[in-house]
Amino acid sequence: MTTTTPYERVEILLVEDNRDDEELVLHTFRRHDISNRVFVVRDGTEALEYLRGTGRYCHRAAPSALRMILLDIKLPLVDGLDVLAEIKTDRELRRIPVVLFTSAAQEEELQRGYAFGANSYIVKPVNFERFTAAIRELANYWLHLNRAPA
Amino acid sequence: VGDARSLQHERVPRALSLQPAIGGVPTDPHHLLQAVRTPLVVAGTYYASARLGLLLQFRHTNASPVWPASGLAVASLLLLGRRQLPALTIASFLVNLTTGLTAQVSAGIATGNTIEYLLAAELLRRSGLQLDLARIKDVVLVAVSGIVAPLVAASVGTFSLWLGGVAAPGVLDIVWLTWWLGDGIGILVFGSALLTLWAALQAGHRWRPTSPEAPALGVVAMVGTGLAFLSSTISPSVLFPLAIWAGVRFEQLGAAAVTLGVSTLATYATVHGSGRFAPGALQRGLIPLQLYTASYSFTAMAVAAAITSRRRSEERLRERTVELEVSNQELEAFSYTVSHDLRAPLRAIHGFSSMLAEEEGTRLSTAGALHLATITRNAEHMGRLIDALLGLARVGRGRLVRQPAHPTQAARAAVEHLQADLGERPLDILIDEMPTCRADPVLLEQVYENLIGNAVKFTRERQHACVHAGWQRPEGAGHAAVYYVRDNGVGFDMRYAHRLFNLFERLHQKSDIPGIGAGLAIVERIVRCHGGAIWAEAAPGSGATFYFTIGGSEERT
Repeated sequence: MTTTTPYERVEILLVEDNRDDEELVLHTFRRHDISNRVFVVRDGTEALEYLRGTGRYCHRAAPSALRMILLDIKLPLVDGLDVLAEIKTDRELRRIPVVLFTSAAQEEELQRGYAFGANSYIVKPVNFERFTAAIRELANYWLHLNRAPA
Repeated sequence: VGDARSLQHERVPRALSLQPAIGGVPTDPHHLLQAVRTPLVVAGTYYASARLGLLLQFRHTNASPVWPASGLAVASLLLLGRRQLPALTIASFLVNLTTGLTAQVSAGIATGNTIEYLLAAELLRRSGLQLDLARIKDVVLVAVSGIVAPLVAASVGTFSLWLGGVAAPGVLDIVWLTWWLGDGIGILVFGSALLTLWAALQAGHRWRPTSPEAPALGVVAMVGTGLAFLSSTISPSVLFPLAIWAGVRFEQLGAAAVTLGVSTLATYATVHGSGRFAPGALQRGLIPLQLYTASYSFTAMAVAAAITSRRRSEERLRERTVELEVSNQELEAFSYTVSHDLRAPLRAIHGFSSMLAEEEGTRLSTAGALHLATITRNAEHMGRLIDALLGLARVGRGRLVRQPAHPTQAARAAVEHLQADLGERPLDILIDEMPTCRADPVLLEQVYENLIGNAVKFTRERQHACVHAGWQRPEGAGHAAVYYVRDNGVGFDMRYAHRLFNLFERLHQKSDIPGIGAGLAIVERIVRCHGGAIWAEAAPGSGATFYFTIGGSEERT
């Protein structure tokens, strides 16, 4: 939405309603030169429309190069965990790694997240250095280290 | 429960309105009728129940072995107030007058009765009787007033009969005994039945014929009593299990119903010459039957009260548990909100001020760069405060898993966790073999992690730092073992000991030693959740010792 990434090259989908957090994440990506591979949506409904190529995204084909979905849990409209459940029960989408990205660790949320099939659960650090380090490591792991099916 | 309560609220004013207004004599005919209605009903009922009791009177002396009127009188004084006393006195006088006694004798008997009723009612009221007889204390109170108060009426009444020449001197002892026991049974059986019925109505009790048990008990009680009193060789004590059944399963209402039923049948049988108590009934009155009825009634009521009070305390416990669960859930929701919503802006403050320093740092003056660093540092500090607050809130939020826990193992595990902070410092950590206790092992480890962590922190300046985790034998049998963590660090001034366990309280200068002052607050909360206690002894410069008990030491090493 805010980025001009060519659709077919999007590798990271960031689902985040907090503009400040979005800027912190994008800042990190810019610093590591991967901001051109990120697409940002701001609520759960939009995320699902984007992933399925429906609604606002019906004129485009569903993204095929996605390597990671960075999913905030507390979202307006459709909650992050519900988005996760939708993704993990979808034949096509379930293969895409989903990293839950939340403000605060909550045991019940964590349990439900993994039960729904989350690939990772990360608490956003308050400390900026640790925040950028977390984003950097995540991108490095899912984009470079991890091998995705062709 | 809520339903019963609301019913009670609706009913109480109506019950109160039965009493005429206090103050001036009502002149309006309508009000006059209202004012005399209740005393008239009380007097009429008293008269009727007295005539009923007189059917069984001993040799035309007006001494009756069963005197429901005394129970009715005491119950009306308790439920409707002392103002019913004149109605009772007049009714009592009329009952005796209309059975052919002279006005003088009737007046004497009525006086004795009046004193008895007032005495019993006041005794019960002043000793704090609970009208639903839900405690054993209430049953005992009713029994005591049923023993004490009739002494007056029996004595005055017998004396009046003797003076009036109604009773022959040879039978005065039996007349007295019959009177005493008859009035006592009236209070114990009929008085308490009325109180129980009234309390059940107040509580909105409805007869729900859902279980066949109540009718079954009724049938068994009637048939059993009938059979037991057919023969003069069967001991009526075989009927006591029915009293227990009624009390256990149906509490005071059941006890009252079964006692009334059994005593009515037993009296009927005995009067008609049947059963164990019949022989000699005419000569000795019905005294054995009376004693039997009294003890039967007392047993049923005492069992019922024991069951009721236990059920009530269980209900209270259950309500309390629900309340606690609700407040725990609220606390959980609250701490989630705190952690989620307070951290997001902090993250932005820390993140954007860091970005500012990173991108524009070179264009800032030295002072500006320092100010920016202060913003960043404080945002981070507040993040740690929030985390500590959440850590504290989390203690005792989940269920405590109390099981045999090993302080020695917990302390060793804590030291392992702390290893990273220990660094290369020369430090002696001594952990004694300690007795097991009943505690949540995870929380016990957290206690040691905080206490040993503190000890390590406050011995930084020492050439030879020493930390010792040990225990002391309890002072006496049944007391929990006292565990302690001792260090030879900087200690603290005992004048501030009362502030040690406050959240974010730090007894040292901020720059001296790292930390935010949450560790001891968490430890104190864990210990308190276990029903234990924690305290400290220290002196500035010569180390500190933290002692704690954690409940239920199992005394094994």
